[in-house]
Order: sequence, then structure tokens, then C-alpha cells
Amino acid sequence: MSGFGLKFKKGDLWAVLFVMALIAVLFLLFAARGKGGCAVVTLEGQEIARLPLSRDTEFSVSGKYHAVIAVEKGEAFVKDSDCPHGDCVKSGKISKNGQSVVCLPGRMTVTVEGDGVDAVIG
Amino acid sequence: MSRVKKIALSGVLTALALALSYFERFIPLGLIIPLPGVKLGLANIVTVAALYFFGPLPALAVAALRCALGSFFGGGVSSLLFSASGALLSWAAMSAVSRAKTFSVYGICLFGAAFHNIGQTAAAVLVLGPAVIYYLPYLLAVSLFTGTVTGLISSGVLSRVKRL
Repeated sequence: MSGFGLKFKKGDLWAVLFVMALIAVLFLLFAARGKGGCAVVTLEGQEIARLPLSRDTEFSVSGKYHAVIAVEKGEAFVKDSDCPHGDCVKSGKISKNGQSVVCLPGRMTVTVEGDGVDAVIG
Repeated sequence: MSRVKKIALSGVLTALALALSYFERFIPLGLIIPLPGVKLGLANIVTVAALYFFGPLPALAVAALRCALGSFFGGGVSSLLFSASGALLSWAAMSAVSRAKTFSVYGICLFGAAFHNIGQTAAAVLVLGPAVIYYLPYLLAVSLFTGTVTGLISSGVLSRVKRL
């Protein structure tokens, strides 16, 4: 028996504080980011496309599942996906540096990066 | 307690953990919190129980076997990477803080939930690329909630079971 207590202690608040501090530090680290230049699409960890946010476009990804990534009005989002839960579609639109949409079952990410090359590679 | 009884009971706990991780799939937490990989972490309650009754090493065995068997029965290699990295880091954190008299089972569960998410995010960074790390603060915020829930359940269950 390692015999830790089973009733809530004041000391447990340190655990809450620890996690909150971690969240705050991470948010501060990630906050220093401006509007991004392009949406980088990766599949299975490999970059497959760079979509400039300045131009409206659509891009189809055929991995384990089929997904459509769209850029509209300077924002990128997953428009459609046939992955099981559709979390990537529900994640919404991104436009700031470092923001991303992840499709876990489809092994796909869309990340906004700084001034990108104005070309579509794919 | 005899060695044989300890091994047998660890096996029973592993089976319970497997059942809970399967049952958990039917709780649609993802509908309320639309983040990939969000779950309650009910199986972690069993790791906490093993830690409470038997100590760190049997708890590690229960957690590791749960991940291995879970991926064997359904899930596959990729799910093993995610669940194992989360479960191992969670076990390490919980074992470490369980020695400190500062924390009760609630604090231990909070650390367990937070480090489970850190471990999973680390695995996701390896598989999906560095972009995934931006999810970590959101997942940690969710872990405050899930850690409290598993803490509540662990506290209730362990104080009623008393001994194995």
C-alpha cells in the first residue's frame, strides 16, 4: 500500500495551480503570433501542400480518408471529410500563425505559417 | 499479501481497465469538447487503484498490459503509440507525486490526467508534426475537468473497497 489519502486536501490545490500555470505559460508562448501567410497541409507527417491565404482555393487530400481543405477570405478550414468523427471539420477556421486543425484518424494537419511562398505545391 | 495473490489481482485489475477503456468509447465527450483525442480516462482509475493497493511497479504492469491488450483487441499499432505514451507518462507522474504527502487521490488524478495529455501530445507531435503542440493548452484545460472526475470516482471507489 502506498497509502495516499482519499479525501480532498488543501495540497491538491497545488496540482490545480500547477496545471493552470502550465496552461498559462503555453498560451503566452503561443500568443506571440501574427496573421499567417499560408496554410501548410501535412499527411502522415509529410508536407503535401502550401496554400497561400491570400487566394481563395480548394485542395483535396486523399489519404486514409478523403478531405477537402478550403481557403476563403484569408482563412483556412477543413470543408469536408469522410473521417469517422469529423472533428477536423468542426474545428473551424484558422488564420493566425501557428494555429492548426488536426485530423487524428486521417493523420492530417493544416497549420498556418508565416509569409509563405505564393505557390501551391502538391 | 502473497505474491501469487498480487499477480492474480493485478490480472483482474488489467481486465477491469480494458473493459473501462472499451466502455469509455460510448461516452461522446467529443461532442461537448470538439478536440481530437479527448476522453474521460476511466481506465486511469484502475492504475490509481493498483498504485494504492500494490504500489508503483504493479501499477505500471497493469497500465502497460492494458495498452498492449487494448491495441491487440482493436485499435492497432498507432493507437498503441498514443495510449502507451499517455499511460506511461501518467503512471510516472502519479507514482512520483503519490510519495509526497501533499496530495490526496484528487491531486494524483489531476497530475495523471495532465501528464496523460502531455504524453499523447508528444506522440502526436512525432506522428503528425509539430503543429499539434498548439492543442496542448486546451487539452490541459480539459484535463482539469477529467482529472477531477476520475479523482472523485477513485476517492469514492477506493474508500469503499478498502482492501483487495
